[in-house]
Amino acid sequence: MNDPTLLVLSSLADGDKHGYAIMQDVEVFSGVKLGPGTLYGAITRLEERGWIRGLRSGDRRQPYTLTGEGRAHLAEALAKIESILRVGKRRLKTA
Amino acid sequence: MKHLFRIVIALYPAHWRQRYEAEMMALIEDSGYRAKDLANLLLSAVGAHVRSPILLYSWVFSGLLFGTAMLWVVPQHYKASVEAQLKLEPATVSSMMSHEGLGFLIQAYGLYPRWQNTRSLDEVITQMRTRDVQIEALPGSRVRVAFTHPDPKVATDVARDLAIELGFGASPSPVLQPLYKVWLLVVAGLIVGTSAGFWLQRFVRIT
Repeated sequence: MNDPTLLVLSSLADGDKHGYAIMQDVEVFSGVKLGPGTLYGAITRLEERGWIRGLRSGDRRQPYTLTGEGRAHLAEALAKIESILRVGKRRLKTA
Repeated sequence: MKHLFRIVIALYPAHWRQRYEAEMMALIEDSGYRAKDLANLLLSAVGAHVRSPILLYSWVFSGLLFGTAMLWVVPQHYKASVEAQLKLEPATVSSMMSHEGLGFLIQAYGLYPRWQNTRSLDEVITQMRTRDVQIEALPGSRVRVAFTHPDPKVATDVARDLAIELGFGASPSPVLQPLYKVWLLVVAGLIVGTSAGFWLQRFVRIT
């Protein structure tokens, strides 16, 4: 799983974070190092779809939070991935 | 290095920079100025442009504008043609289209100068015979002879010489018709449209 939008959604699933914190968190839990352009490309798309929302902040480092729609989309996407994983593992065992 | 990052971020669309530039700069300050990130930003800046509707508008609008302007201003070729009532003699046509006949015209008018050094005379003559010279038999015993060339004067002069050779009389008057390579106009229009779109998006927001 290295779709930047899913990685960002997964990172925000356990709490609000700003860009750099998302970047570090994603690297820790997935081993994927997102470049700044890729990260903000994903953030832009997610905000446009209403899956994340910027929170008010006095700092330049704006935190983002997962919306209800974003949480639902993440759950659905992860369920699909889990299903693919299950089938793939089962077929590997029987092969 | 920081200066380079600022330049690349300035390439993003205006509406994107308004929303994300400050936090993007904060993130880069936190993570460090790395060449790899610079390349990543550059590619993403192109992506941000492509995703924006203004680019599509610019493609269509500028492409049409440029293509139309080119159609009126810069035709790529001219076709000069003459028509007359004539009994076409196969021997005359063969003589006119022969190696000597067309070779004489090529040398007299300095035709195909770019090919002179890269192709043999035979190849140049074949190209002229199959591509640029046209002899058509029309209904009512009429004959049309035409020659196509980028220079309208050369097209006219060569068409006149061909017509005289075929027996059209002493001074036939060729009619000139501009020709266009539509694919070239479309490609040029797209390039101009895309450039205009990228440039516009740096300054204005149209969604």
